[in-house]
Amino acid sequence: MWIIKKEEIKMGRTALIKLRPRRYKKGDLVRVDSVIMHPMHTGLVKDKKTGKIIPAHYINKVEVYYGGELVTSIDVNASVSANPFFSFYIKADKKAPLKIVWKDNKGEVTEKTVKIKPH
Amino acid sequence: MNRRNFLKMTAVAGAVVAVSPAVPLGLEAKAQPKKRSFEEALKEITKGKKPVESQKVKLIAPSIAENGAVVPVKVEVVEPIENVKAIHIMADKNFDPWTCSVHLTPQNGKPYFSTRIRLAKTMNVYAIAELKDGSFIMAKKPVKVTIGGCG
Amino acid sequence: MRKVVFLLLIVVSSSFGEIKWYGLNDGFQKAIKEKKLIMIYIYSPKCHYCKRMEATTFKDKQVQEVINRYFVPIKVRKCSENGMFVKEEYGYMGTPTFHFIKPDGNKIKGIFGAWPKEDFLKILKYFYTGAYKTKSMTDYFMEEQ
Repeated sequence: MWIIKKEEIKMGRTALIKLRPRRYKKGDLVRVDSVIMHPMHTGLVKDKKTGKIIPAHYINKVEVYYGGELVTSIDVNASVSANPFFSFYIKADKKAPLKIVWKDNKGEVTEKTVKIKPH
Repeated sequence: MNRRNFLKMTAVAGAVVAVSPAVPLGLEAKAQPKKRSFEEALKEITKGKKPVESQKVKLIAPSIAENGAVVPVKVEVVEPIENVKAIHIMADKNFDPWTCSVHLTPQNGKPYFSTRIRLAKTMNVYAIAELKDGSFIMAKKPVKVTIGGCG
Repeated sequence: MRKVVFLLLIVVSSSFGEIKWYGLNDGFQKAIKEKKLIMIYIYSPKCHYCKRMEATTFKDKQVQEVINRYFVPIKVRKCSENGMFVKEEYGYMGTPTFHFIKPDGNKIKGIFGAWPKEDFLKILKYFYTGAYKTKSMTDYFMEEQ
């Protein structure tokens, strides 16, 4: 189990988080734009080479933690575009990490953390 | 789906579960795409309640999408964040009309959500806001995509 | 019977006018001279969606008027030499592809797929009104209600 987990971390997907605006004061509303590189296979499309259906493989859950507390969660279907983009707001009322966790239907997990530092 | 494909799929699903017991069975079962009508999908979201069209739900999506695979959708609900529990995005003529649901908390500060979705053809996109009192308000927008082309 | 229908079609289509397609070289020269935008249409004779668009959208009088008035329309076959050149120079997304090009040869944008006349008119409008200079096509149609 440990080896598999290490493997997963190594092959982790690229995830990006941008905060808008880049400078903000305590209590400001900050927009969080997130992207994760994921093919989002619907399970409805055939592989052009093999003619076989590409099995469904998609992000189905996103969780957002701010200072360790779950503040937002997203249930996701395969009809969200490849490399899913999600954007939402956070009230930056404390200096704390913002962690986003992406989970897919094959059990693959990707995490990314940014610091919320109000000026 | 014919029987042989179904057997293949269950066999694959079974294998995955065996290798990684951490994955709950439910997730694998959910992985297989299921065709649903808009009414069926909506019923699951609202538990049978009828969403009311409201000016308070601002849904921004392109009237014409140059690429149906990447259609930007923005939703803002003109309500205090404390009153909005969730925002659901649906696309009525997709294979499964339910696209995503975001569950918000007061920490979000503002009931806003934006994403990019796939549309199989020209159809209506819906933004459905779930309010604290258990009611649902919504907005819809027709989005046109190409009628087709050859690869 | 078939002949009669065919004759009728000729009469009908000629009375409604048609899109004045240009070849690649002639089209660019005309665009430079008249400072018009170029619309290159890449088609394939086998493509169902090209045929469908030619039988509907391109037969529409308003579409014909707008294209002839504001654009220099150039038609190239996917596998012809000019088609290969256009694909190499401006890209290709399948048939039909429409490339909107400034007279200096710089591409504004490529659009993929067949469109009904109302939608195609709106797309054309984005280019001929100059809206492309200030906003992306997605932003433009996000604002359009």
